[in-house]
Amino acid sequence: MMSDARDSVLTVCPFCSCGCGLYLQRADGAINGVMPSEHHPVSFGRLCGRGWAAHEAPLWGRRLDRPMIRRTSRLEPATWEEALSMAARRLHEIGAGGRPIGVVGSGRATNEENFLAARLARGALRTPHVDSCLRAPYQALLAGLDGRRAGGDDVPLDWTNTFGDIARAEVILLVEDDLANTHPRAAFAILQAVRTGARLVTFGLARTQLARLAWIHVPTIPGELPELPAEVRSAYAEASRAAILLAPGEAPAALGRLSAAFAALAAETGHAGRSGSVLLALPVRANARGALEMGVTPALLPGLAALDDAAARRRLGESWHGDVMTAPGLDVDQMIGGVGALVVFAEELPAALVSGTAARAALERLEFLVVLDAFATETSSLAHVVLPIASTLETPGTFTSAEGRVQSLRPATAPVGEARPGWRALLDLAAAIGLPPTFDSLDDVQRAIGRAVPSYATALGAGRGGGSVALTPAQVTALGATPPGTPTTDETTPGAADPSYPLRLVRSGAFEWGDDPLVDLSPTLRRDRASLRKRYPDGLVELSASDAQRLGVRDGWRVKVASPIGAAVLPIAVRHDIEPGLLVVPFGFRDRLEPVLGREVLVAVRVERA
Amino acid sequence: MNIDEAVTIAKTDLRMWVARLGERSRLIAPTAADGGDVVFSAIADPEEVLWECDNPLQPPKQFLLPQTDPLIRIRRNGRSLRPETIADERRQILFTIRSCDVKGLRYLEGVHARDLPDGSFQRRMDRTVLVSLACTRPCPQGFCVCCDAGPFLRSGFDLQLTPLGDRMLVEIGSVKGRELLDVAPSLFRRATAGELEHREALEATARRGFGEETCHFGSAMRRISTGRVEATLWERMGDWCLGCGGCTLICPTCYCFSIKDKPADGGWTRCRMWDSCQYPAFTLEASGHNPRHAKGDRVRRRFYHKVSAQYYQRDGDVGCVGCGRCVKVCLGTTDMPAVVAAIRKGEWHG
Amino acid sequence: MVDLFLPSVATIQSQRDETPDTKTYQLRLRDGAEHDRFTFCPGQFLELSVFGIGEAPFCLASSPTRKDAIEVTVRRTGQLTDALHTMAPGDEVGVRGPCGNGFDLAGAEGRDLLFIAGGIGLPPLRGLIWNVLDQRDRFGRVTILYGARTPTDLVYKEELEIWRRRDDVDFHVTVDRAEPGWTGNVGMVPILFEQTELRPATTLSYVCGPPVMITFVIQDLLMRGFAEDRVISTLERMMQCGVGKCNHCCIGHRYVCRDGPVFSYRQIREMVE
Repeated sequence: MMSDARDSVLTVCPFCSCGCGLYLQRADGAINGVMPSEHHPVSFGRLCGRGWAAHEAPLWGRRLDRPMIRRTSRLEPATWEEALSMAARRLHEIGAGGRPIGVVGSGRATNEENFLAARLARGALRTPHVDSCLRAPYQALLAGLDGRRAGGDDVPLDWTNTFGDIARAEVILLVEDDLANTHPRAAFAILQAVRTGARLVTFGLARTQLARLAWIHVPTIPGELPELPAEVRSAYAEASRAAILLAPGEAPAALGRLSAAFAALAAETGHAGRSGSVLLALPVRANARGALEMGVTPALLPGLAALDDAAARRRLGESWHGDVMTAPGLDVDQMIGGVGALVVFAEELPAALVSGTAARAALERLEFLVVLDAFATETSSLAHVVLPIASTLETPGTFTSAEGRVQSLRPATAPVGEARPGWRALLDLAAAIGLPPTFDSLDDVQRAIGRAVPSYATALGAGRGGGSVALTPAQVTALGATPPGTPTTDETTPGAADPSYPLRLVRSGAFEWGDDPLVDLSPTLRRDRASLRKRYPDGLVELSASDAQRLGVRDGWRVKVASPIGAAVLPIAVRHDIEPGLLVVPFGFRDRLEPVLGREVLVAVRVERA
Repeated sequence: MNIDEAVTIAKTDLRMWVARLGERSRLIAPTAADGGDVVFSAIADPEEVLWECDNPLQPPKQFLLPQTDPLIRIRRNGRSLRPETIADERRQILFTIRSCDVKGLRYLEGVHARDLPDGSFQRRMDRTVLVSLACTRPCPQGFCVCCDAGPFLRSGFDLQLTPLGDRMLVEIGSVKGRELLDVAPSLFRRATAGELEHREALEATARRGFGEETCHFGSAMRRISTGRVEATLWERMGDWCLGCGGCTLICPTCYCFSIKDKPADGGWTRCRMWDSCQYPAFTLEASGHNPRHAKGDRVRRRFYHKVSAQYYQRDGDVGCVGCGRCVKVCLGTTDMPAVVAAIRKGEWHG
Repeated sequence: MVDLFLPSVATIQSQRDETPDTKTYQLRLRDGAEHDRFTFCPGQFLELSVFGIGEAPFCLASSPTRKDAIEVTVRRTGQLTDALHTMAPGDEVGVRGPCGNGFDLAGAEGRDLLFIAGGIGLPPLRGLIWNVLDQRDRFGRVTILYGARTPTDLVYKEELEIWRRRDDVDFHVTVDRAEPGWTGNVGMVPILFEQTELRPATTLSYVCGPPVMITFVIQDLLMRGFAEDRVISTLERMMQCGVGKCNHCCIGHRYVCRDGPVFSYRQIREMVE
């Protein structure tokens, strides 16, 4: 009988942390599209615009298909052996010379890959500097959900934190950047709730789509704790089912205070631990939660165990080297410019880091850079050794969603060229460095994860449907006890208002999908950002219509924006959804405002026509 | 084509017929997929065909218009280019698709044949046989009765199957359909008058099952065609849409696409790929100007194409087959029945 | 079976710089017989491919009365046009077409013709102008009014001179801003209306240019008594297939690539988004 092999392969969306399921469609052995899964417990037949194009980046993007090494000034093809041995040799030299080495894992990578990345760092390289981009804001949010709960130590944190619960809530408090854009599946749950009469309260920088549907919108600047209106507090308290959803921009320390305040509200009103009520933090990337739980963080072991947790160290066992490096390390922002060598796994650093193009300059100055990725990126172009790996459509493994679902990815096609599954490449690299693999298969890796992180043992062993994990109070305490990020980026100092800088400039959002390879390499998804970049080659700053009118400027006209730190001249875009007195620089254009913002999220500025 | 003949086959013989069909042609049928879903898939074994199942969420249009469809191969020899058509000449049978999907494919056939005919689509359509399974009861979200697209059809199929107890009625709609019987002629016998009456009765029962909750296109069509829908209504609907594009990608009558070249073997493969008028960049011009910058304008665009009289005249039919998939796939509240009701009443819930 | 999407191959014969960011290319279809068979109406366009980068619509800027080469005038606006501008004679491109409806030449017979172009709006009209001039006695008076931002931005500079010198053409040109050496008109295109005799009753007017310019000029013409169906323009939209299938270029139920790009002002006014 004439037929193809299975045409539809069920896997998990690689974009945000909602964890929607989708089928990869195949024709003639190659992936050619996606289809939603009607029975998937998260997505129930739906997908957002990004999910519908999940197949495009691996299909259309420039792929890394063979190992490459930089012997002279150019990257040249090499064998796996040559590449691995060069990497091992140089990393040994640099380590022996006393210069720090960092490992960057990824919210785009699987649990198994992140576990092995952490093992590469603390086990093979014996370095404590291991982190992923965008971890700090998420960790800060989780850490704030500490302690102030009714119910005692054995109440798990993620009680009924599902999108279904959000859809049934009577009152929803949403802290967002623009949830309809960052987490559409979550936004859908809110639409369902409001449709049936729920009252929505939004806290955010702009009057977003959801803010327009809200009962009350509280304009909130990143870094500042919003005032809770009295009627909101009582509505929340009186509801039998209420949801708090935290998906804000950045400013890590402020995020910790923010989630702590909301957690306190939940506890004081009896919603904490109540079935049907929700307190959910949403990270940006698909597996940001998994990366954190697998130990890709400078101050915790896998399982969110404290570095001095002897039992946790024992559970890592021989597979991580008997003597695991347990000092606290640099975070990813500190690594840039702070280490001599980096191993980067599935990450495009200039796109994801706040330091943007400054990060690129720092990467160029590294003594040694090893990049493992599926896509040819700016980061990989700067590497000394490139190891090609499978994309998430070609590799088995698991992701942990924001809700705590541990879901399996299934490969729909083989890796391209000589690319290897990421977990295999990390094992090989660690072996070349001197930590022999005690695993032979992905199952082995998963068993090791189960031993190291007992909650994952059940989840990974839960079979086809996947399982779920819930943070324990001890884990949340551990999260909170560690510094979440580089101090200079998180504190906002309101200070006394300076009349010579009467306006405020804020950097919006924690992440701009437009520069991520999964979007940038997708013909359908890249169009909006490409057009913006083309129209505003000098960057842009956004301000409210009333401010524009007052300054006598129109859309596209240039202004000079000056703060105590510095100044920049660039065009404006007029927005009708932000408050007067506030200028916004989108995350994707943050580099042009670096002279004005420095590393701050919020500065006082003055603006004049240029 | 008129139904000039109807035959029946014992349900126990279906397996044999399917096996014979599969020897000469790719057979695509509803099958069980991993996640508990029913998906259209090319089958390797007759046992894979699901005879009693819901209509798959994915429409069979992907077998005529794949989501990524290689059209042209461009070979390069130094400075010299050689483009050539990639001709997909595989034969396929879309087996036990529903009436709504038959209507949807005929609609697509029509739009791709009108004006400047698309040879690529026609080539596939010529090699595709549509074997439908009549719906003897309404599906939960369906409203095919409003679009003259079901639950049974009188024409458009090559074969239409109707379950009658332990036998399956096979109505022959075309020569192509008749040829499918020739692979195992001994399995079929002429339908009796009683069997044909049974079929009529089943259709009547199924139609009655739709009840009062239907989707009245007529008045919506009049209002949308004469510009009598307030801009503010579209704006408010836009606020309840997350722009996922699912409605258009899942819709049996939608076919918007973009064209892009993929590097291949030193040259390129030029592919057609699904696109959606719901995406902002769909109308984004090189200058940065976007005539449909506002979400409400994009929602309006979709419904204008699906439901306006102008398009009805241009394309010969309304752009909806009442399959209800847009209801299932919508990441907001802007599915076809909801919007049509809003257009008729001039009201929106939000 | 017609393959709507299969491009023919054309070779760049030569190219000419018009302005710092605009070039005109002379193309011939690589297959000589195909080139000889190729025919089109002014106002139609080609879908031109630089394979690997993409395909984009370019109006045919030459007249079908001059068959040696097919000409397109290309301004650099993005990836594809950037790539084109690096190409040289002998390089090959893909072409599909001619696409679209073109100007109705037969309907213009015997009439006075008024051509009004702004900046990069002249290329769509140039083919029509040369077609008219090559069949001069089919038509009445011919008036050409052309304006650009600066003298440097004028395209077809040598041909402007030819039109100026012809005594069967009333040609006027202006620039928004003069440059050293410019002795001609300074001001926007509507100032040229004062320098020529307009006869709304017998004249078909063709207006092409930047959207704002078109709007002002057309309003001016209507005020001077030109009927809405005697004012002709071209519309541009984002296009992909150019053959009425992909739906990108729709305005309501009109397809700019099939029902246009040439439309009368009455048709444009009646279009609903």
